[in-house]
Amino acid sequence: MLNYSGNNKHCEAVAKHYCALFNNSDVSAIISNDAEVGSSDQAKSLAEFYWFVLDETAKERPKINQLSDSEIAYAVERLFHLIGGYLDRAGYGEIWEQVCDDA
Amino acid sequence: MPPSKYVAQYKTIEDLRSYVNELIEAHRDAKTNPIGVLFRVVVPPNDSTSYIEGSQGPYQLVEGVRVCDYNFDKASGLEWVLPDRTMGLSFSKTFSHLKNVRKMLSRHAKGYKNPGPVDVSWWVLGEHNMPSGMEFIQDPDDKNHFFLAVTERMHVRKLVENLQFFAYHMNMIQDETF
Repeated sequence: MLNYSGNNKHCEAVAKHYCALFNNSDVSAIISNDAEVGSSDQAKSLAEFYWFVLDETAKERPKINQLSDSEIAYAVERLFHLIGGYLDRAGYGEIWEQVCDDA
Repeated sequence: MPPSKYVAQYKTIEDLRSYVNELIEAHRDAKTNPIGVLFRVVVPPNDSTSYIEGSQGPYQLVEGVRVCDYNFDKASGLEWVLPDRTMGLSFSKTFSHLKNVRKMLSRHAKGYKNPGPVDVSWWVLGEHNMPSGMEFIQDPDDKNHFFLAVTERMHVRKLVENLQFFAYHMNMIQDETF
């Protein structure tokens, strides 16, 4: 489960916004907390999704609900820790590392 | 107080790995301290624990502190900071974590697909007494990430003073990979 409470409160909206562009149903299900990561391929896709989000938000200022630029930027910072920490706990830390190295 | 001092440079990621791992070796298990040393990645010209207006990205600053990093009491006009163990300046525990954070911050440091340098500073636990009301707290979502958190209500001027204390005792390694 990804924790969207507390200072992660805007992460879900930002991640879901980019799920529509990333177009991977497994990633969408994990981001929505409808499924857990269950394979190396899914782990790799989820890690790649993070770097996709980072690049997309840097490319142009997105409009996501009523969130400000700083709220979106901070959510992207928090998503790094949310997704990286989640993959590590799920036993896919090496895949996160590899994708980060290749990104 | 002067800001953090540059004491070395890295020209490659392998240089950085060697330097960081030497610090970990010197300050961690050898002294039976499970953390020992924590690393912070810093986009210059910002300092270890403070931001310069114009160099903080889209974030609002109050006296060099990003408002998003601490739980500012909005009712006080951002004069007071409330205790919150899930917020604070970011620190990395391991080389691999800081390497990935470095890439995240470097990747668009000068604009889209225009990476820029990222310095690395560090705090050695136990060398100096922590200021009252501040603690390093492990991020519940990422075990190798720590917050320099505020644990008691404090005025923003006190927070800035405390952060300057940390900066004064932190050294930096300068990114010369660009």
